[in-house]
Amino acid sequence: MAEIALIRVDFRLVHGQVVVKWSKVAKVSKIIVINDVIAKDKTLKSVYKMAAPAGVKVLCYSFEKAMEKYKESRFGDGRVMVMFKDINDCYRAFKAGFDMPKLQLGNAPRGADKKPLSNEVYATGKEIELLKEMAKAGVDIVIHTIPEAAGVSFRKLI
Amino acid sequence: MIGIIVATHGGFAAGMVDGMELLCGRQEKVVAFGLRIEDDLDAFAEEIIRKADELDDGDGVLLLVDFVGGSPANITGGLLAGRRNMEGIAGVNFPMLLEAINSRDEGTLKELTDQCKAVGRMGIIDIKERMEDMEKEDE
Repeated sequence: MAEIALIRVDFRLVHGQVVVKWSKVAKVSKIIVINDVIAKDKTLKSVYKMAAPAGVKVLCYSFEKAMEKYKESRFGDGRVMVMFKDINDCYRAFKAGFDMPKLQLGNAPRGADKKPLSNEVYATGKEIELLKEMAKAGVDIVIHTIPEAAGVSFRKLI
Repeated sequence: MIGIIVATHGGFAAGMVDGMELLCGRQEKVVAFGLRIEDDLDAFAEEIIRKADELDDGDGVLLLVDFVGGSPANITGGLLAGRRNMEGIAGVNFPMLLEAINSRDEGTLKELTDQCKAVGRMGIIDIKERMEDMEKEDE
């Protein structure tokens, strides 16, 4: 069983902040990207695989395959960072039995019906309800874009 | 003439192009894109495609991005895969950009790409080591 060192929601998935900072802070050897669109698209998949920092492997799984791999062996061995593109996918995993003691919200884009949780994280009313439900169930949700800035607890915002 | 697009995080691309023009003078068909934290990624990618179409006079376009794994490289990686007349290099540095400008009239897009990769690598030098080597040369 791999040790899940970090679970992050970030619409940019494996990008600069993750490659340069978080993968190193969390000392991971694997990044698991859980996203149906990317898992199906060969080009996108290779873009994110190529994005891997030195010594780190990026694996892109569909939601279904990820849950299988999670239940089978918690993604094998090593230290792992798990990434979701949006709050909804992350909530789906949570409901499917994915153990989430802590959840990091890194980047979520602006949108017409969205409210800011920070300068970098925006959520719809529906998404805030999902987060509230997760927080109530014991998930420690922190809005934290880069390690150099302090994280803010979701609980303190609502 | 081969078009050059530099796309990076923040003001790095614009700064590099500014520095290059200090040495080479004002250049045609060179465009810098800087991604800011608040930028929409799809819009950023669309702007780069639009610019690439505009710059391509048949000779093609060379895209230089800051590093593999960053958003500028991620979003353009998908674009490059489907474009025949465009090449891309990640890890842009100043020697590479100067080479791109100085050699873009001399060969094909593929040749320029190879040349820029080589010169970019050769441009990374340990200064003290190099100076010691130079001193030894005279002995």
